[in-house]
Amino acid sequence: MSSLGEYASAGTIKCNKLIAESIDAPSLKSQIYGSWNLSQNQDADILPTAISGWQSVITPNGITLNGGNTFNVSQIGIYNIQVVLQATNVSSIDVADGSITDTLGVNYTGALHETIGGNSHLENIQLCFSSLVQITNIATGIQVQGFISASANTPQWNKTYSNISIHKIV
Amino acid sequence: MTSLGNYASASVLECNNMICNTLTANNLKSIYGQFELSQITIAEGTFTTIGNWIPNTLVKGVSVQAGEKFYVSEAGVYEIHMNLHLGQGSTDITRVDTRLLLYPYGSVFGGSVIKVSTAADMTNFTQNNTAHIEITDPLNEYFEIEAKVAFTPNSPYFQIDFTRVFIKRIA
Repeated sequence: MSSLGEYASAGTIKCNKLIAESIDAPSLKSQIYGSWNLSQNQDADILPTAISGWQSVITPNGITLNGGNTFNVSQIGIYNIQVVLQATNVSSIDVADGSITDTLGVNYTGALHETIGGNSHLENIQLCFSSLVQITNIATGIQVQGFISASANTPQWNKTYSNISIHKIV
Repeated sequence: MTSLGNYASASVLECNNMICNTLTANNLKSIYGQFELSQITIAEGTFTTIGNWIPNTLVKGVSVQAGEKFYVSEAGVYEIHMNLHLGQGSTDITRVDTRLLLYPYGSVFGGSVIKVSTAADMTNFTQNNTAHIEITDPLNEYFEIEAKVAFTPNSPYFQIDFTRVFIKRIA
């Protein structure tokens, strides 16, 4: 006996089950997502600066990259933002800092690696951080800011491992 | 006469069919998996695939073959998280490289490096990483996690407790 009693066929029950499942797992084909890495190694600034030069790793759905450094989504909602920044320098890295921000100036989260006295012998360090960001106005763009302080040479954000992934979850 | 007897109108049935067809076409299946190491796994000085992965109880539609090749059951976009914990007996780890590769192409989809120029006094280190991968041919495409470690003089290893891979289909 099903919820529809004697009138329910196997097909109807199957349909009901599919509908119930769809409530728990939203349609995958309507998801909004994207993943980008750097098209080339980017010289890092010594002050917090929006990192530019992103290129898509997989074909994005519902997210556009504007001006090389700003990600705009096509729908309001809550997004999971995941960032990996790979900092490199020939000699020591004193400070490496990265954060998720938006074009309104909100800073959501980030990561910081800092050493004392500029003598860390640190040549490569990775910053990995993530945040949920609620977008209430699709004109608001998402950015990744970063800076590196080094005692010599020109530190860079490495193109191979620096990445941002965005995925709408609600 | 329909499956709903006299109570079902043609429009209701049509609507039901549309819903069923749409849901079936959208292929609504949650695919995910979490994997851990079955034993401590020695790290090498050159890029080597990390093996000994085993699924824990949180697995659906993801499998690991030969302990190192991750396959998914359906085409789609997948979110992958890695937490790789490297330990060593007593002396310095001076460089750790980890990366995620999609095969059979050998394409790098993520990774990281920590490197110091001189002795670091580092005996434990954890690399976190995340990436999105699009699988279009689930029968032939798979991914692996590779690592290489520079050290003196002991043999560092990936530890069981904190080393994990989590995979989830998102689109």
